[in-house]
Amino acid sequence: MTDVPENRVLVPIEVLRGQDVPEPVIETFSSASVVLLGYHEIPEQTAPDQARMQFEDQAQNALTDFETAFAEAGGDVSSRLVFTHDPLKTIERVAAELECDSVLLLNPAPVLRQILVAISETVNVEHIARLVGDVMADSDVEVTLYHVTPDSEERERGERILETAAETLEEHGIDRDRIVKAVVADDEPLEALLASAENHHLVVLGESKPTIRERIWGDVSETIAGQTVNPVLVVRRDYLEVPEAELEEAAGGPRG
Amino acid sequence: MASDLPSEGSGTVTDDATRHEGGTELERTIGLTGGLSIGVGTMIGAGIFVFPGLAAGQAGPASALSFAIGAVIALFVALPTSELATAMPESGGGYYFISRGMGAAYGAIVGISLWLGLVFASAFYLVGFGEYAVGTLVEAGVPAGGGGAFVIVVGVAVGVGLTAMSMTGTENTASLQNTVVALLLGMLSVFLLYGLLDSFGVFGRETVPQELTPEGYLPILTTAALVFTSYLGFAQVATVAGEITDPGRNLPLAMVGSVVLVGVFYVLTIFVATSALGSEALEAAGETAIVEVAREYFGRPGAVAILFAGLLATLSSANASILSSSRALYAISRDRIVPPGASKVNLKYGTPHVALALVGGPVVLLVTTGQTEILAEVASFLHLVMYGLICVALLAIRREDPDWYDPDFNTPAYPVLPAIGAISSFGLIAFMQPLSQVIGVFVMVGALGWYLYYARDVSLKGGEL
Repeated sequence: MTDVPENRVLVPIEVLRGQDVPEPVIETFSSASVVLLGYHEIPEQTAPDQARMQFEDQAQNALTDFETAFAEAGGDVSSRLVFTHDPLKTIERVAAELECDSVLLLNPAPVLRQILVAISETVNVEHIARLVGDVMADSDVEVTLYHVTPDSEERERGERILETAAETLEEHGIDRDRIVKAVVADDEPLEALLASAENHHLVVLGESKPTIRERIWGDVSETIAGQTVNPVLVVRRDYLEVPEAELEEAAGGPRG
Repeated sequence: MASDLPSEGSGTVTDDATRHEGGTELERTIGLTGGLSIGVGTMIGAGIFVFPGLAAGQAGPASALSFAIGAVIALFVALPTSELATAMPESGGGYYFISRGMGAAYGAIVGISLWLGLVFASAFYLVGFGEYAVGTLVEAGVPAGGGGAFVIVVGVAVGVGLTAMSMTGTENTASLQNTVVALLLGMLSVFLLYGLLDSFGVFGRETVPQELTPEGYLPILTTAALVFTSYLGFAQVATVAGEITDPGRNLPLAMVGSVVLVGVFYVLTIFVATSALGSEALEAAGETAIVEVAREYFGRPGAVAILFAGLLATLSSANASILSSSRALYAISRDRIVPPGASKVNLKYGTPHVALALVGGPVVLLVTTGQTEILAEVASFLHLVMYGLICVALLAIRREDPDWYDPDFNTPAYPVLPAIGAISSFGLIAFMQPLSQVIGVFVMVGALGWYLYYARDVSLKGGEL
């Protein structure tokens, strides 16, 4: 799964609610293959087909405008339009169907110069770094690689993980002087990440494996997307899995 | 899995979406649990919380048999409906199958009857809710002066409230519905298990000895006709067929499963209720008889718990029926059998406010009659006509065997089973009260008149559209 030749980004757009795709996002992501997912959420009282008959043209027109904007920026872009009771299910289904390795959750972005890449130790660091590298290589954005550890003694392992990421980024066209590494010790990883996100224009993170708590309280990536004012690029779970052995190696030996 | 369906409103069906020609997709979001919950949630309000007293009064302990007859007829219809639904997983349910299988005239009669049948059913549930509200007040020591009038006031208020909520509410209530259904089934299971053990003398208490058929055999059938309203929910699963995931598997399971599940609960409830109190006491307690049964077993806490469950169940059934009725109206307006404005969706809330008003208005009007039995029977009448015609539509479509017809589920024992389904559905109508029959016929003649006046040039059969 990790050897997908190209990166494909799914961009869900709530197309009839006036959601906009910021200009800097269009420019930056024109270097990736982009699928625009126009969706319209309908309440249960309404049959999807009922909403389709009334709003299809309006939605399709809005979506076509975005598609044209991406195409004019030189992007490889296609689009889908879905009427749904459950946007999350739709996003996951279309992402899997079209083999998109990441999903861009939109928020306003007046500029896009500094991005924050959150790296945890349990994910496939290389895939995230390669994706970021490929998308951002032609731009001049500055990439902050970011790792939170609850325990300051594990700082060293964090450094090692970020170094792996930095090397991969370099291989994929991001110069060292555009890379910043930050290992932060904090008991509240989510809060720390949200605070750091304020100084950046885009957050990149891996979709976390749903623990039981996350199944109940919602996925971390959705929480973050809901709480930051930035667009969030979520790298899908399927592309982050690493074999156990590799995980131990990356973490510097087996853990107790 | 992909199949070309016979109307312009349809597209390519996959497990998770329907894709239309322009590429626009409609997500399927209701799974098996959701489908079962729609079926069970619509049905359970009536059979357990409204009918036991009325049924026992008419047929005695043998009314358990009436519920069993209803379950068998429902099953004979649920199986053909499943086959048609897997071949045409589209909104509109029975109306859709009949209009495509037998043409626009039958479609118009069934579509309009389905809309109004669900209006009658919703009104019936709201009157039931009113009875439980009064019961709750009495239990709380508030003298419910005026009884019947108060039932109607509550029913009307809740009817208006539910309609308004459906028009403006955008929260998803599906998970709430699932929770309500699970809670009800859990409570009823405890109640019935205890009651059954008691009926067989486990607790050493004397059960009320009585004759199985104190009123003779005919009341078993007339009671079956009355309580058939308890089995109207499975067809509601078909009205949202366009939204069910993996329709080839989940539609038949949800429809047949919900009929079997509620059928078992109904029969056991009547058995337990008549053993505990006897038919006469049940009859005297009327719509809330089951509360007295709970009081007999568990004292006041039991009565309170069942009152609470009754409020929940009748409310959930009323809400589900109002929503289904609005779907039915949408389906016929999509096909131009009624003006397209009827299914207009407003952009602000995304809800079909016109259709909901066209359901909520008549519902409230009917609640004011307060006639539980007539409301239930007319609802059953209009559904039974549709059920019979669904079976006939299956026979007609199978005989023609058009290219687009490729169901994932095949009705067993074809053609005997759908034939029995049709005959028994039409047959049950004969055992209703004359007034219900007159109203039912009146609605259907009105529907035919409307078709001749407004929709004569609509053609829906097969791929004609």
